[in-house]
Amino acid sequence: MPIVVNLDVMLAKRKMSLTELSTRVGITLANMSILKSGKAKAIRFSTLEEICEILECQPGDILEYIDNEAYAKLMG
Amino acid sequence: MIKKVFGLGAAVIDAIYCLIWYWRMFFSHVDGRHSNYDIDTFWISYMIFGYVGNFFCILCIILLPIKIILLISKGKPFDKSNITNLYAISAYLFIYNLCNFISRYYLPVSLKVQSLQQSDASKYFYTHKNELILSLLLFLIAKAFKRGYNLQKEQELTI
Repeated sequence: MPIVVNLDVMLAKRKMSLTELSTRVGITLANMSILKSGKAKAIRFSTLEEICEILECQPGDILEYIDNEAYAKLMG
Repeated sequence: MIKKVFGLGAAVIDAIYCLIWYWRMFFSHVDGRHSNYDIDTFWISYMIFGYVGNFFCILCIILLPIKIILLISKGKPFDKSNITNLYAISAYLFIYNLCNFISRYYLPVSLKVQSLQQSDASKYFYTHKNELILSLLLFLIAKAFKRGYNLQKEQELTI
């Protein structure tokens, strides 16, 4: 699935840890790690809304579409 | 992967068992005069493959369904092992019946050991129709379980 989650970039910009984000959003660290690593199959609008509110960003800042070739290269 | 190989392996062993059975029939019908060595080889291989085949038959027909029922009762119906077990049972039933049919009806007729009237292939399908229908049903159930497993995985990975 060539949708990349740029959560780590936004976390670095806001100087926030994944643990803090997961606590504030109210989902487990394990699930947040799945989202960050790009293993997630889908994201609920409610979760996206919470993340955007806490990180003060737009959904497009977190999710990005890339073509299959670039995605394969990125994932190794 | 191991279970798939196991299911197919069981069917292949039973198929060899059927072919040995056919071998005996072929010799007794065509040759009529076989040496003691032939008879000994036949009985030894017949017994070995018979016991091994029955062992796999017990595993496929009794133990694997028990394992499936146990997993369902534990609240894990869409487990990967359930899918492979269902595929294994389905493949076992189908391949075993197919090989049995080939060895008992197709080969004797094609090698002219039996006439077409003597073999009566339709009788085989009539008597074994339940096993073939069960094999098809199990295959469809395995497909449904696979779909359920994929949906469950998707649900688990929805954050």
